[in-house]
Amino acid sequence: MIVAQRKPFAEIRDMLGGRSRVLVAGCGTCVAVCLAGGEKEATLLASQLMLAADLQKRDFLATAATVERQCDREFLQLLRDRVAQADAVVSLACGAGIQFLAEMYPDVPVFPGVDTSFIGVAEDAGLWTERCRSCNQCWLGMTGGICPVTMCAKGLLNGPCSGTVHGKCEVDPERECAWAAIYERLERQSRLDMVDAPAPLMKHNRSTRPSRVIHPAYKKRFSIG
Amino acid sequence: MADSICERVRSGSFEVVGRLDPPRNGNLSQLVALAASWKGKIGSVLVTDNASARLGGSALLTAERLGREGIEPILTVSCRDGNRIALGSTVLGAVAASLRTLLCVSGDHPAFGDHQDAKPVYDMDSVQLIAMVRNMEQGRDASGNELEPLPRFCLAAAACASADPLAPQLSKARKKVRAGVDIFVTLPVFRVDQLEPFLNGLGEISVKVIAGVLLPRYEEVVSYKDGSIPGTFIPHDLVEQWRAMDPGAFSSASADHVKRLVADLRSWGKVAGVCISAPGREDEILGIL
Ligand code: SF4
Ligand code: SF4
Repeated sequence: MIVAQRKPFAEIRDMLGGRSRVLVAGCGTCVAVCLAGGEKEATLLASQLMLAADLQKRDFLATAATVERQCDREFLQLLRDRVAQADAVVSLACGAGIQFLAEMYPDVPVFPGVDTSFIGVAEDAGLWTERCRSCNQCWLGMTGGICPVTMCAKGLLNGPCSGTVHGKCEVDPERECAWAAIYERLERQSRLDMVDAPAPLMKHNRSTRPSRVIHPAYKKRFSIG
Repeated sequence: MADSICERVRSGSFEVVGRLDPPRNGNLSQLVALAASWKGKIGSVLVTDNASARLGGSALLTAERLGREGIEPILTVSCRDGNRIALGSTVLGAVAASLRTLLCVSGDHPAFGDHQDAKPVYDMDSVQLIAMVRNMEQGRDASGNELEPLPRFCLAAAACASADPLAPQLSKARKKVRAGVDIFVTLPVFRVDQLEPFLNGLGEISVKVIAGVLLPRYEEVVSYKDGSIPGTFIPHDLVEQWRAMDPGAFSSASADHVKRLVADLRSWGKVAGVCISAPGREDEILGIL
């Protein structure tokens, strides 16, 4: 899932400037699971904004509305009336959701209420860790199911750097060295031949333009030739 | 120019390399004077590329200047700060500057340096960099475009002999050999036996190994813990010994230690040379020999 963190309150308040009719839009999927932008967090932020405005005796109204996913037009559609009544929207969805909302309602300023951090997993209650940089050319088959792009601080594809410290990463002694882990996993599965093969250069086309994924069944409809 | 370091180590002579970091003040005269004073004692000068992820002068320019002064440089090329275009261009620059020896490294992570928020590039890793240089010699750049074939370089790569675990390090070292590296320069060791498992693990290969040694600074030893100097592991009993000394006593004890180590490595016969690093203590390097 996509993991995000709520922005500090002061940052959100300052972005809003003098706007006085604010819709806080929550998203019921990833950001709800990581407790950053679901229904509860949206309601909470709206109340915080109201309280702060109250203290300044400002004419101000913040309300909250949460849809199942902001990365889907079908759900964003449901916010139309609420957005129409607002002079600003704070979206608590991930960066993709925020943009999609802003695109659908281009006349209203939309502000991010979270910082989108990574694609990761729920490691434990209240702990999420990164696992994938969505590089669009998954190497996991060669690396024993451990991502070198994400889990190695240098994203090295051909083995460890010289800095591994007793199995930990040179950058962070709290973290396993990805390549120590990859080696161990492959050894355990008798697949060490995998690390002997040189990895080719990464294709960075992904960072030069936003990617598109078209499902094979929809090729005709969306193909650009 | 005389034989390159590759030819010398292949012919069995013991190579002494001294490391110099291009200064941060844009003035090479001190560095050049120091390197010139090493002539006859030191075979080649390793020019670092923003060592330890700290901003330094241009490695390419410094190496070129040393070459003009008749000193043989080894140009470090680090994957940390440039993508395949920048690195390819550095290689072409090296040819233009008549440099013949490159040390291809991934590079310490910016987290260690003085620009901790810098973007770590690592578009290539050291294995891919070695392969790119070999391909450029054959007339292909990293993306397969044609170029005029380059003259053959003497290629060195880094390896950590004291890595824990060692097996993944060895497996990567073998990849570097297959990619076409000529020489390994190990990260600093402090005792001859630190090299043994690595050399045994490598087995019979044509690639020569130059042992890195380090004359550390007092503060580095005082604050030392495993991992505080990337890839460099000082035996704990030695750290204790050195820490118990005052700076003056440490200075001569550490210099004596490295001096003995260099002599031992020379007579040991299993390494092709030494690469002496002494950041901040470069003027003591001659005394060690
Ligand atoms: S290799 Fe890593 S970053 Fe790339 S898709 Fe697979 S898990 Fe994600
Ligand atoms: S120590 Fe391991 S995980 Fe950390 S940068 Fe080096 S190879 Fe990558």
